[in-house]
Amino acid sequence: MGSILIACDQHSTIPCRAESALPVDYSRFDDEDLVELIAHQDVAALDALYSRHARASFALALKMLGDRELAEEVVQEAFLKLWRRPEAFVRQRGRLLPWLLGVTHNRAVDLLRHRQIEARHHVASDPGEVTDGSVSVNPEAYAWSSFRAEAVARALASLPVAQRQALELAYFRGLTQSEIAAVLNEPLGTVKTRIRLALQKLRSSLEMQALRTEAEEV
Amino acid sequence: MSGPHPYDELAAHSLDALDEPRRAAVQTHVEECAECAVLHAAYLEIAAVLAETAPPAEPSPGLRQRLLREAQRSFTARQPSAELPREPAPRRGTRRWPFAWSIPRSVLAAGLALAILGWGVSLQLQVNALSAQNAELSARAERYERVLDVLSSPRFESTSLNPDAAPNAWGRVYFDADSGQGMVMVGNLPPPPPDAVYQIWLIRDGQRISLGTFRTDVDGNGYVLIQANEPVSHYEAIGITREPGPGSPAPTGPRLLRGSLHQQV
Repeated sequence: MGSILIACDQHSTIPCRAESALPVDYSRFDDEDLVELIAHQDVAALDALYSRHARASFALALKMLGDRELAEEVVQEAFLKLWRRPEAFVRQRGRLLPWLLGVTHNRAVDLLRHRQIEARHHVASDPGEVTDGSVSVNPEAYAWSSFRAEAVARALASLPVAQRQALELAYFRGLTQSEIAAVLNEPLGTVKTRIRLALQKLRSSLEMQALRTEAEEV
Repeated sequence: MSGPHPYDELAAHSLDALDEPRRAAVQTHVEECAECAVLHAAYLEIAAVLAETAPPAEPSPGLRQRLLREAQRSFTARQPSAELPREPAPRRGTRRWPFAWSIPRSVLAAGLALAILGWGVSLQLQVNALSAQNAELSARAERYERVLDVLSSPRFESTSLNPDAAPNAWGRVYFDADSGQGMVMVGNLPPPPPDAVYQIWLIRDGQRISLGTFRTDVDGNGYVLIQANEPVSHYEAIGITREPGPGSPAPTGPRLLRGSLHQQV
Protein backbone atom coordinates (compact mmCIF):
# COMPACT_ATOMS: atom_id res chain seq x y z
CA MET A 1 0.00 0.00 0.00
CA GLY A 2 1.32 3.44 -0.77
CA SER A 3 1.40 6.53 1.32
CA ILE A 4 -1.63 7.54 3.31
CA LEU A 5 -3.44 10.78 2.91
CA ILE A 6 -3.38 12.66 6.16
CA ALA A 7 -5.42 15.79 6.54
CA CYS A 8 -2.97 17.50 8.81
CA ASP A 9 0.74 17.59 9.39
CA GLN A 10 3.05 17.39 12.34
CA HIS A 11 3.40 21.15 12.49
CA SER A 12 -0.31 21.74 12.63
CA THR A 13 -1.90 23.00 15.79
CA ILE A 14 -4.96 20.92 14.97
CA PRO A 15 -4.99 17.50 16.61
CA CYS A 16 -4.52 15.02 13.80
CA ARG A 17 -5.57 11.76 15.33
CA ALA A 18 -7.35 9.89 12.59
CA GLU A 19 -9.86 8.34 14.94
CA SER A 20 -11.18 11.72 15.85
CA ALA A 21 -11.74 12.69 12.24
CA LEU A 22 -12.83 9.61 10.33
CA PRO A 23 -13.99 6.08 10.96
CA VAL A 24 -10.98 4.25 9.53
CA ASP A 25 -10.70 0.52 8.96
CA TYR A 26 -7.15 -0.04 10.18
CA SER A 27 -7.10 -3.65 9.07
CA ARG A 28 -6.70 -2.35 5.52
CA PHE A 29 -3.36 -0.73 6.35
CA ASP A 30 -0.12 -2.66 6.35
CA ASP A 31 2.27 -2.35 9.28
CA GLU A 32 4.43 0.29 7.71
CA ASP A 33 1.44 2.50 6.88
CA LEU A 34 0.29 2.22 10.47
CA VAL A 35 3.69 3.48 11.59
CA GLU A 36 3.11 6.53 9.39
CA LEU A 37 -0.15 7.10 11.22
CA ILE A 38 1.62 6.66 14.53
CA ALA A 39 4.01 9.40 13.46
CA HIS A 40 0.88 11.55 13.36
CA GLN A 41 0.10 10.38 16.89
CA ASP A 42 -2.81 8.17 15.96
CA VAL A 43 -3.49 6.08 19.05
CA ALA A 44 -5.85 3.80 17.15
CA ALA A 45 -3.03 2.91 14.76
CA LEU A 46 -0.90 1.93 17.74
CA ASP A 47 -3.78 -0.18 19.00
CA ALA A 48 -4.05 -1.88 15.60
CA LEU A 49 -0.34 -2.72 15.60
CA TYR A 50 -0.61 -3.97 19.14
CA SER A 51 -3.40 -6.34 18.10
CA ARG A 52 -1.22 -7.74 15.35
CA HIS A 53 2.10 -8.13 17.08
CA ALA A 54 1.73 -8.05 20.85
CA ARG A 55 1.47 -11.85 21.03
CA ALA A 56 4.73 -12.42 19.16
CA SER A 57 6.51 -9.78 21.18
CA PHE A 58 5.13 -11.13 24.46
CA ALA A 59 5.89 -14.77 23.62
CA LEU A 60 9.53 -13.86 22.92
CA ALA A 61 9.88 -11.79 26.08
CA LEU A 62 8.22 -14.50 28.17
CA LYS A 63 10.46 -17.20 26.78
CA MET A 64 13.53 -15.11 27.53
CA LEU A 65 12.52 -13.82 30.94
CA GLY A 66 10.24 -16.55 32.26
CA ASP A 67 8.19 -13.94 34.08
CA ARG A 68 4.85 -12.65 32.82
CA GLU A 69 5.05 -9.33 34.61
CA LEU A 70 8.52 -8.52 33.30
CA ALA A 71 7.57 -9.74 29.85
CA GLU A 72 4.58 -7.38 29.75
CA GLU A 73 6.83 -4.55 30.86
CA VAL A 74 9.16 -5.28 27.95
CA VAL A 75 6.30 -5.42 25.45
CA GLN A 76 4.93 -2.13 26.69
CA GLU A 77 8.34 -0.49 26.40
CA ALA A 78 8.81 -1.82 22.86
CA PHE A 79 5.49 -0.41 21.67
CA LEU A 80 6.04 2.86 23.52
CA LYS A 81 9.41 3.21 21.81
CA LEU A 82 7.62 2.99 18.48
CA TRP A 83 5.03 5.48 19.69
CA ARG A 84 7.57 7.98 20.97
CA ARG A 85 10.16 7.58 18.23
CA PRO A 86 8.41 6.25 15.12
CA GLU A 87 11.26 7.63 13.01
CA ALA A 88 13.53 4.99 14.58
CA PHE A 89 11.84 2.49 12.29
CA VAL A 90 12.83 3.07 8.65
CA ARG A 91 10.51 1.20 6.30
CA GLN A 92 13.06 1.13 3.47
CA ARG A 93 15.32 -1.06 5.59
CA GLY A 94 12.94 -3.88 6.37
CA ARG A 95 9.62 -4.98 7.80
CA LEU A 96 8.23 -3.76 11.07
CA LEU A 97 7.83 -7.10 12.88
CA PRO A 98 11.55 -8.05 12.87
CA TRP A 99 12.34 -4.52 14.01
CA LEU A 100 9.77 -4.72 16.80
CA LEU A 101 11.02 -8.13 17.90
CA GLY A 102 14.54 -6.72 17.81
CA VAL A 103 13.49 -3.95 20.19
CA THR A 104 11.74 -6.48 22.40
CA HIS A 105 14.78 -8.71 22.42
CA ASN A 106 17.12 -5.84 23.12
CA ARG A 107 15.12 -4.74 26.14
CA ALA A 108 14.75 -8.29 27.44
CA VAL A 109 18.51 -8.78 27.15
CA ASP A 110 19.05 -5.59 29.11
CA LEU A 111 16.82 -6.96 31.84
CA LEU A 112 18.57 -10.31 31.83
CA ARG A 113 21.93 -8.66 32.15
CA HIS A 114 21.31 -5.69 34.37
CA ARG A 115 18.65 -6.94 36.74
CA GLN A 116 20.42 -10.25 37.14
CA ILE A 117 17.25 -12.22 36.97
CA GLU A 118 18.88 -15.07 35.14
CA ALA A 119 19.44 -17.04 38.31
CA ARG A 120 15.76 -16.79 39.19
CA HIS A 121 14.92 -17.74 35.62
CA HIS A 122 16.95 -20.92 35.84
CA VAL A 123 15.17 -21.95 38.99
CA ALA A 124 11.76 -21.24 37.47
CA SER A 125 12.08 -23.53 34.50
CA ASP A 126 13.83 -24.07 31.26
CA PRO A 127 12.98 -21.25 28.83
CA GLY A 128 11.56 -23.70 26.36
CA GLU A 129 9.17 -25.03 28.98
CA VAL A 130 7.41 -21.77 29.68
CA THR A 131 3.71 -22.23 29.16
CA ASP A 132 0.81 -19.89 29.23
CA GLY A 133 -1.99 -21.78 30.81
CA SER A 134 -3.53 -18.80 32.53
CA VAL A 135 -4.72 -17.05 29.41
CA SER A 136 -6.54 -18.53 26.45
CA VAL A 137 -4.66 -18.46 23.17
CA ASN A 138 -6.37 -17.62 19.92
CA PRO A 139 -6.73 -21.02 18.13
CA GLU A 140 -6.08 -19.67 14.65
CA ALA A 141 -3.02 -17.74 15.80
CA TYR A 142 -1.89 -20.79 17.71
CA ALA A 143 -2.20 -23.05 14.64
CA TRP A 144 -0.36 -20.61 12.42
CA SER A 145 2.43 -19.93 14.89
CA SER A 146 2.77 -23.66 15.52
CA PHE A 147 3.16 -24.28 11.82
CA ARG A 148 5.78 -21.55 11.54
CA ALA A 149 7.54 -22.71 14.69
CA GLU A 150 7.82 -26.22 13.27
CA ALA A 151 9.44 -24.85 10.12
CA VAL A 152 11.92 -22.85 12.17
CA ALA A 153 12.56 -25.82 14.43
CA ARG A 154 13.36 -27.94 11.35
CA ALA A 155 15.72 -25.24 10.12
CA LEU A 156 17.38 -25.06 13.52
CA ALA A 157 17.68 -28.82 13.64
CA SER A 158 19.52 -28.75 10.36
CA LEU A 159 22.30 -26.65 11.90
CA PRO A 160 25.40 -28.30 13.37
CA VAL A 161 24.89 -28.73 17.11
CA ALA A 162 27.68 -26.34 18.05
CA GLN A 163 26.22 -23.57 15.90
CA ARG A 164 22.70 -24.13 17.20
CA GLN A 165 23.93 -24.06 20.76
CA ALA A 166 25.76 -20.75 20.25
CA LEU A 167 22.72 -19.25 18.57
CA GLU A 168 20.31 -20.28 21.32
CA LEU A 169 22.58 -19.15 24.12
CA ALA A 170 22.88 -15.76 22.47
CA TYR A 171 19.28 -15.26 21.46
CA PHE A 172 17.26 -16.78 24.27
CA ARG A 173 19.66 -16.55 27.19
CA GLY A 174 20.99 -13.13 26.25
CA LEU A 175 24.62 -14.17 26.64
CA THR A 176 27.33 -12.16 24.93
CA GLN A 177 29.85 -13.80 22.65
CA SER A 178 32.47 -13.69 25.42
CA GLU A 179 30.07 -15.28 27.89
CA ILE A 180 29.20 -18.00 25.39
CA ALA A 181 32.90 -18.66 24.82
CA ALA A 182 33.37 -19.01 28.57
CA VAL A 183 30.36 -21.28 29.02
CA LEU A 184 31.37 -23.52 26.13
CA ASN A 185 35.08 -23.24 26.87
CA GLU A 186 35.77 -22.29 23.28
CA PRO A 187 37.91 -19.49 21.80
CA LEU A 188 36.01 -16.23 21.26
CA GLY A 189 36.82 -16.25 17.54
CA THR A 190 35.25 -19.68 17.18
CA VAL A 191 32.04 -18.48 18.82
CA LYS A 192 31.89 -15.42 16.57
CA THR A 193 32.26 -17.57 13.49
CA ARG A 194 29.67 -20.06 14.69
CA ILE A 195 27.08 -17.36 15.28
CA ARG A 196 27.63 -15.77 11.90
CA LEU A 197 27.54 -19.10 10.07
CA ALA A 198 24.50 -20.22 12.04
CA LEU A 199 22.47 -17.21 10.97
CA GLN A 200 23.54 -17.58 7.36
CA LYS A 201 22.70 -21.29 7.31
CA LEU A 202 19.42 -20.68 9.05
CA ARG A 203 18.45 -18.25 6.33
CA SER A 204 19.46 -20.69 3.58
CA SER A 205 17.58 -23.52 5.25
CA LEU A 206 14.40 -21.47 5.63
CA GLU A 207 14.63 -20.33 2.03
CA MET A 208 14.98 -23.93 0.89
CA GLN A 209 11.95 -24.93 2.96
CA ALA A 210 9.97 -22.08 1.45
CA LEU A 211 10.98 -23.20 -2.02
CA ARG A 212 10.01 -26.79 -1.24
CA THR A 213 6.64 -25.65 0.09
CA GLU A 214 6.01 -23.61 -3.02
CA ALA A 215 7.05 -26.52 -5.22
CA GLU A 216 4.65 -28.84 -3.40
CA GLU A 217 1.83 -26.36 -3.84
CA VAL A 218 2.35 -26.03 -7.60
CA MET B 1 30.18 8.00 10.64
CA SER B 2 31.81 6.19 13.52
CA GLY B 3 34.76 4.09 12.34
CA PRO B 4 35.05 1.35 9.72
CA HIS B 5 32.06 -0.78 8.76
CA PRO B 6 31.61 -3.52 11.39
CA TYR B 7 30.46 -6.12 8.85
CA ASP B 8 31.71 -9.05 10.94
CA GLU B 9 29.82 -7.92 14.00
CA LEU B 10 26.41 -7.25 12.49
CA ALA B 11 25.23 -10.86 12.82
CA ALA B 12 26.07 -10.95 16.53
CA HIS B 13 24.59 -7.50 16.99
CA SER B 14 21.25 -8.67 15.59
CA LEU B 15 21.21 -11.17 18.49
CA ASP B 16 22.36 -8.51 20.99
CA ALA B 17 25.35 -10.76 21.60
CA LEU B 18 28.14 -8.19 21.36
CA ASP B 19 30.05 -7.32 24.49
CA GLU B 20 30.17 -3.74 25.65
CA PRO B 21 31.54 -1.36 24.50
CA ARG B 22 31.26 -2.85 21.01
CA ARG B 23 27.51 -3.24 21.35
CA ALA B 24 27.02 0.50 21.81
CA ALA B 25 29.62 1.36 19.18
CA VAL B 26 28.07 -0.89 16.55
CA GLN B 27 24.59 0.40 17.36
CA THR B 28 25.80 3.97 16.90
CA HIS B 29 27.39 3.01 13.61
CA VAL B 30 24.22 1.27 12.40
CA GLU B 31 22.17 4.35 13.18
CA GLU B 32 24.49 6.50 11.12
CA CYS B 33 25.39 4.18 8.24
CA ALA B 34 22.64 3.33 5.76
CA GLU B 35 24.58 0.42 4.30
CA CYS B 36 25.15 -1.29 7.64
CA ALA B 37 21.59 -0.47 8.71
CA VAL B 38 20.28 -2.45 5.76
CA LEU B 39 22.59 -5.38 6.50
CA HIS B 40 21.61 -5.28 10.15
CA ALA B 41 17.91 -5.24 9.22
CA ALA B 42 18.49 -8.33 7.08
CA TYR B 43 20.06 -10.13 10.03
CA LEU B 44 17.17 -8.98 12.22
CA GLU B 45 14.81 -10.68 9.77
CA ILE B 46 16.62 -13.97 10.36
CA ALA B 47 16.86 -13.46 14.09
CA ALA B 48 13.13 -12.75 14.21
CA VAL B 49 12.31 -16.25 12.99
CA LEU B 50 13.98 -17.60 16.12
CA ALA B 51 11.31 -15.79 18.10
CA GLU B 52 8.74 -17.99 16.41
CA THR B 53 9.97 -21.00 18.33
CA ALA B 54 8.71 -19.39 21.53
CA PRO B 55 5.52 -21.07 22.81
CA PRO B 56 2.42 -19.05 21.91
CA ALA B 57 1.37 -16.75 24.71
CA GLU B 58 -0.99 -13.84 25.13
CA PRO B 59 -0.40 -10.87 27.38
CA SER B 60 -3.10 -9.94 29.86
CA PRO B 61 -5.89 -7.67 28.60
CA GLY B 62 -4.69 -5.04 31.05
CA LEU B 63 -1.48 -4.53 29.08
CA ARG B 64 -3.33 -3.06 26.12
CA GLN B 65 -5.14 -0.63 28.42
CA ARG B 66 -1.92 0.39 30.12
CA LEU B 67 -0.13 0.91 26.82
CA LEU B 68 -2.89 2.99 25.26
CA ARG B 69 -3.31 5.02 28.43
CA GLU B 70 0.42 5.73 28.49
CA ALA B 71 0.42 6.62 24.79
CA GLN B 72 -2.54 8.91 25.26
CA ARG B 73 -0.83 10.58 28.18
CA SER B 74 2.37 11.22 26.26
CA PHE B 75 0.25 12.42 23.33
CA THR B 76 -1.38 15.00 25.53
CA ALA B 77 1.99 15.98 26.93
CA ARG B 78 3.45 16.41 23.45
CA GLN B 79 0.54 18.44 22.10
CA PRO B 80 0.17 21.56 24.21
CA SER B 81 -0.52 23.53 21.04
CA ALA B 82 -3.51 21.32 20.29
CA GLU B 83 -5.51 23.16 22.87
CA LEU B 84 -7.03 26.46 21.93
CA PRO B 85 -4.96 29.17 23.58
CA ARG B 86 -6.57 31.35 26.16
CA GLU B 87 -7.10 34.91 25.15
CA PRO B 88 -3.74 36.50 25.84
CA ALA B 89 -3.40 39.69 27.78
CA PRO B 90 -2.10 42.52 25.60
CA ARG B 91 1.64 42.73 25.91
CA ARG B 92 2.85 46.07 26.93
CA GLY B 93 5.42 47.49 24.59
CA THR B 94 5.39 44.59 22.16
CA ARG B 95 5.45 45.37 18.45
CA ARG B 96 4.90 41.84 17.26
CA TRP B 97 1.17 42.18 16.57
CA PRO B 98 0.64 45.90 16.95
CA PHE B 99 -2.80 45.77 15.35
CA ALA B 100 -4.14 42.51 16.68
CA TRP B 101 -6.16 44.13 19.46
CA SER B 102 -7.98 46.28 16.98
CA ILE B 103 -9.30 43.45 14.75
CA PRO B 104 -13.09 43.27 15.21
CA ARG B 105 -14.41 40.05 16.73
CA SER B 106 -16.62 39.53 13.68
CA VAL B 107 -13.54 39.43 11.45
CA LEU B 108 -11.85 36.98 13.78
CA ALA B 109 -15.00 34.85 13.80
CA ALA B 110 -15.13 34.92 9.99
CA GLY B 111 -11.47 33.92 9.83
CA LEU B 112 -12.06 31.08 12.24
CA ALA B 113 -15.08 29.96 10.23
CA LEU B 114 -12.99 29.97 7.07
CA ALA B 115 -10.29 27.93 8.79
CA ILE B 116 -12.87 25.40 9.98
CA LEU B 117 -14.39 25.32 6.49
CA GLY B 118 -10.93 24.70 5.04
CA TRP B 119 -10.36 21.87 7.46
CA GLY B 120 -13.76 20.44 6.58
CA VAL B 121 -12.88 20.57 2.88
CA SER B 122 -9.60 18.87 3.65
CA LEU B 123 -11.42 16.12 5.55
CA GLN B 124 -13.89 15.75 2.71
CA LEU B 125 -10.99 15.33 0.28
CA GLN B 126 -9.61 12.65 2.56
CA VAL B 127 -12.99 10.92 2.62
CA ASN B 128 -13.17 11.10 -1.17
CA ALA B 129 -9.67 9.67 -1.53
CA LEU B 130 -10.46 6.80 0.83
CA SER B 131 -13.75 6.17 -0.97
CA ALA B 132 -11.94 6.04 -4.31
CA GLN B 133 -9.38 3.67 -2.80
CA ASN B 134 -12.19 1.54 -1.43
CA ALA B 135 -13.92 1.46 -4.83
CA GLU B 136 -10.69 0.43 -6.51
CA LEU B 137 -10.14 -2.36 -3.98
CA SER B 138 -13.73 -3.55 -4.40
CA ALA B 139 -13.35 -3.59 -8.18
CA ARG B 140 -10.10 -5.49 -7.85
CA ALA B 141 -11.69 -8.00 -5.50
CA GLU B 142 -14.54 -8.46 -7.96
CA ARG B 143 -12.08 -9.10 -10.81
CA TYR B 144 -10.22 -11.65 -8.70
CA GLU B 145 -13.48 -13.38 -7.87
CA ARG B 146 -14.31 -13.67 -11.54
CA VAL B 147 -10.83 -15.01 -12.28
CA LEU B 148 -11.31 -17.56 -9.52
CA ASP B 149 -14.73 -18.47 -10.94
CA VAL B 150 -13.11 -19.25 -14.26
CA LEU B 151 -10.17 -21.15 -12.82
CA SER B 152 -12.33 -23.22 -10.49
CA SER B 153 -14.95 -24.08 -13.07
CA PRO B 154 -15.43 -27.83 -13.65
CA ARG B 155 -15.43 -27.07 -17.39
CA PHE B 156 -12.28 -24.97 -17.21
CA GLU B 157 -10.39 -24.94 -20.50
CA SER B 158 -7.55 -22.98 -21.99
CA THR B 159 -5.97 -22.48 -25.35
CA SER B 160 -2.88 -20.66 -26.50
CA LEU B 161 -2.88 -17.62 -28.74
CA ASN B 162 -0.32 -17.84 -31.51
CA PRO B 163 1.39 -14.83 -33.01
CA ASP B 164 0.39 -13.53 -36.43
CA ALA B 165 1.40 -9.95 -37.07
CA ALA B 166 3.08 -9.62 -33.67
CA PRO B 167 5.85 -12.23 -33.96
CA ASN B 168 7.17 -11.93 -30.41
CA ALA B 169 3.83 -11.78 -28.66
CA TRP B 170 2.21 -14.66 -26.84
CA GLY B 171 -1.13 -15.16 -25.25
CA ARG B 172 -3.53 -17.59 -23.64
CA VAL B 173 -7.27 -17.76 -23.21
CA TYR B 174 -8.83 -19.33 -20.11
CA PHE B 175 -12.54 -19.91 -20.07
CA ASP B 176 -15.44 -21.75 -18.57
CA ALA B 177 -16.79 -23.81 -21.47
CA ASP B 178 -20.33 -23.64 -20.09
CA SER B 179 -20.76 -20.02 -19.22
CA GLY B 180 -18.89 -17.96 -21.78
CA GLN B 181 -16.90 -16.37 -18.98
CA GLY B 182 -13.13 -16.26 -19.28
CA MET B 183 -10.01 -14.20 -19.46
CA VAL B 184 -7.30 -13.41 -21.96
CA MET B 185 -3.68 -12.94 -21.00
CA VAL B 186 -1.03 -11.59 -23.35
CA GLY B 187 2.68 -10.88 -23.14
CA ASN B 188 5.30 -9.16 -25.29
CA LEU B 189 2.61 -7.08 -26.92
CA PRO B 190 3.89 -3.50 -26.89
CA PRO B 191 1.56 -0.89 -25.37
CA PRO B 192 -0.60 0.61 -28.13
CA PRO B 193 -0.38 4.33 -28.94
CA PRO B 194 -2.65 6.56 -26.84
CA ASP B 195 -5.27 6.72 -29.61
CA ALA B 196 -5.43 2.93 -30.12
CA VAL B 197 -6.49 -0.18 -28.20
CA TYR B 198 -6.24 -3.92 -28.59
CA GLN B 199 -9.56 -5.58 -29.37
CA ILE B 200 -10.59 -9.20 -28.86
CA TRP B 201 -12.78 -11.00 -31.39
CA LEU B 202 -14.61 -14.30 -31.36
CA ILE B 203 -14.90 -15.87 -34.81
CA ARG B 204 -17.73 -18.07 -36.09
CA ASP B 205 -19.00 -18.60 -39.66
CA GLY B 206 -16.85 -15.76 -40.92
CA GLN B 207 -18.36 -13.32 -38.43
CA ARG B 208 -16.39 -11.39 -35.81
CA ILE B 209 -17.96 -10.61 -32.47
CA SER B 210 -16.18 -8.11 -30.24
CA LEU B 211 -15.37 -9.20 -26.72
CA GLY B 212 -13.95 -5.87 -25.61
CA THR B 213 -10.74 -3.91 -25.63
CA PHE B 214 -7.67 -3.63 -23.44
CA ARG B 215 -4.25 -2.07 -23.23
CA THR B 216 -0.93 -3.58 -22.23
CA ASP B 217 1.52 -2.15 -19.72
CA VAL B 218 5.02 -0.90 -20.41
CA ASP B 219 6.34 -4.45 -20.25
CA GLY B 220 3.88 -5.61 -22.89
CA ASN B 221 1.74 -7.58 -20.44
CA GLY B 222 -2.01 -7.38 -20.14
CA TYR B 223 -5.05 -9.34 -19.14
CA VAL B 224 -8.73 -8.80 -19.52
CA LEU B 225 -11.84 -10.60 -18.37
CA ILE B 226 -14.22 -11.59 -21.15
CA GLN B 227 -17.86 -12.54 -21.22
CA ALA B 228 -19.38 -14.05 -24.36
CA ASN B 229 -23.11 -14.32 -24.97
CA GLU B 230 -22.74 -18.04 -25.60
CA PRO B 231 -20.30 -20.64 -24.29
CA VAL B 232 -16.89 -19.88 -25.74
CA SER B 233 -16.62 -23.40 -27.14
CA HIS B 234 -19.45 -22.55 -29.57
CA TYR B 235 -17.01 -20.37 -31.49
CA GLU B 236 -14.27 -21.44 -33.89
CA ALA B 237 -11.45 -19.12 -32.97
CA ILE B 238 -10.41 -16.05 -31.08
CA GLY B 239 -8.21 -13.23 -32.35
CA ILE B 240 -6.72 -9.93 -31.28
CA THR B 241 -6.26 -6.86 -33.48
CA ARG B 242 -5.14 -3.31 -32.89
CA GLU B 243 -7.92 -0.80 -33.46
CA PRO B 244 -8.39 2.93 -33.20
CA GLY B 245 -9.65 3.84 -29.75
CA PRO B 246 -12.15 3.21 -28.29
CA GLY B 247 -12.55 0.16 -30.57
CA SER B 248 -14.18 -0.80 -33.86
CA PRO B 249 -17.46 -2.52 -34.79
CA ALA B 250 -15.44 -4.88 -37.01
CA PRO B 251 -11.70 -5.56 -37.21
CA THR B 252 -9.74 -3.05 -39.29
CA GLY B 253 -6.16 -3.79 -38.23
CA PRO B 254 -4.01 -6.83 -38.85
CA ARG B 255 -4.55 -9.85 -36.62
CA LEU B 256 -1.79 -9.93 -34.03
CA LEU B 257 -2.66 -13.14 -32.14
CA ARG B 258 -4.97 -16.00 -32.94
CA GLY B 259 -6.13 -19.17 -31.21
CA SER B 260 -8.37 -22.05 -32.16
CA LEU B 261 -11.20 -22.78 -29.77
CA HIS B 262 -11.64 -26.33 -30.98
CA GLN B 263 -8.26 -27.60 -29.86
CA GLN B 264 -8.18 -26.67 -26.23
CA VAL B 265 -5.30 -27.87 -24.09
